[in-house]
Amino acid sequence: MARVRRIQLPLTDDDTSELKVGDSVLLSGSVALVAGTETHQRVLDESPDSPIASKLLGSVMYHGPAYIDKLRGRLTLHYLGVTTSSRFEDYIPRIIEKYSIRGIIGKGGLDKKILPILRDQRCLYFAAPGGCAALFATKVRMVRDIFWEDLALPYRLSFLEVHDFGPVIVTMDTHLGSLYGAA
Amino acid sequence: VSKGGALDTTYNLTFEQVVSASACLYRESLTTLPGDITETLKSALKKEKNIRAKEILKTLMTSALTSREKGQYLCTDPGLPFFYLKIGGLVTFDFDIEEAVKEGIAKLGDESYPPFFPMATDPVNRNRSYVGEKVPVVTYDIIPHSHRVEMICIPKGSGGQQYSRVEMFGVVGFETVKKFVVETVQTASGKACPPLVVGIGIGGTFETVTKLSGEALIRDIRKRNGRPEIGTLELELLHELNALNIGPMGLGGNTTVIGVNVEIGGTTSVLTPVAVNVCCWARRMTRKNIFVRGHS
Repeated sequence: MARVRRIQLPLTDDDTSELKVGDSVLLSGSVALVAGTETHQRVLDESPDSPIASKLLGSVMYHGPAYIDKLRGRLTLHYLGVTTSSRFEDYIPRIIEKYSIRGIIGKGGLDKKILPILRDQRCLYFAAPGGCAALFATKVRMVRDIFWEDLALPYRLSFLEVHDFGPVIVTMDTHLGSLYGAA
Repeated sequence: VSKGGALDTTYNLTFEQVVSASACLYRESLTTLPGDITETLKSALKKEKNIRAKEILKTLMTSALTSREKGQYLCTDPGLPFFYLKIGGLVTFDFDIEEAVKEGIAKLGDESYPPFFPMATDPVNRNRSYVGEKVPVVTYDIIPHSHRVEMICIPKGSGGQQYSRVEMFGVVGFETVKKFVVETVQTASGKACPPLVVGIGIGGTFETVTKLSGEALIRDIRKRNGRPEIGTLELELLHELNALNIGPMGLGGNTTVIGVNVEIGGTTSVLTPVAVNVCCWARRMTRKNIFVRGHS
């Protein structure tokens, strides 16, 4: 059976270099929840010296809609999905470069033309299975922050603390490797 | 004359019954995976050779179990609420069924906690709500001589719908149909959340071939079409699609589809309409018989 590695976030240079396509991992630490094209546009437009920008710096971005509300005064995540990353392909390269994003969790992968950017920016792509909203919610320890409450619920930018999130699979790595090559 | 029914008895369906059944079926469909899917996933896991694919199948099964235990949604995409009613010809009602279903879904949307995301989207201004113009989608069939009402809810997510296809072929054989199905599944690859359930309609008209494909999705994926050559076509397609090495979530393996159901309908002498209805692994579906009281 394949070994599932536990990885503590943020991802280090060693992590992004050692992890290769096909590796299964459980991620623990902070992830930035970014879903929807408008959210991506705002991330891109964010002033580089803003608090949001500093939170995004070097982070792992997660393409997933979630339902989060305040329950007994505490931000609570009820369910967490994963969405098709290719919907955001126009934004992703610039976001990776602007914030030195070290990892993207999503579904379906990205066009192979992004591989040199992933290599140069030392960024991994992790695939999470679709339709696991209930399971993923159990992996979220807390919701640290939520921004842009004027956006529809699933599209607000939020920062989550996850524990043993996954297993997710490295499907695009920093050595030009991709499991989507044949597709 | 229907079984158990009498010609001098009237069977009256009420507005409230439809409101309550719609809400109940939609809610359950969003949290509980049908038995045919869970059973087929289990046997697929035993047969799957690819370690990564096995791991993904296990994750899907664990999540479905978590959903059932916690009453939590399987997916963040609740799909467009689609209802299919089989209404007995002996049943009478004096209200608009679509309005009743709409009320049930609107009420469920307003009262659910945590709420599911409103998916009914106006195609012009993209405004979203729980119900909209002709949403929920409600279709009926009248079942002659029956005094029963069966209601089926099958909310379909966006991923699968995006990769579904229709083609109005001329006179073609099964090889052409198969090629079209294989191409459709290849195009969907990992994006429609495989292992897929594929509903195929063959025949009918442009309008009805897609309805046939929807009916195909409703059938238990472990059961084959009663017409032998169609049952064989289903098995051959299952085999061919699983040999494509697309696998769960498109990451390789021999579990690309867990169900291939074909329904056929008469067509014209020059056509072979084919509709391929692609659905993700979580083919959500609930069904319920509404008890209709008889009055003499």
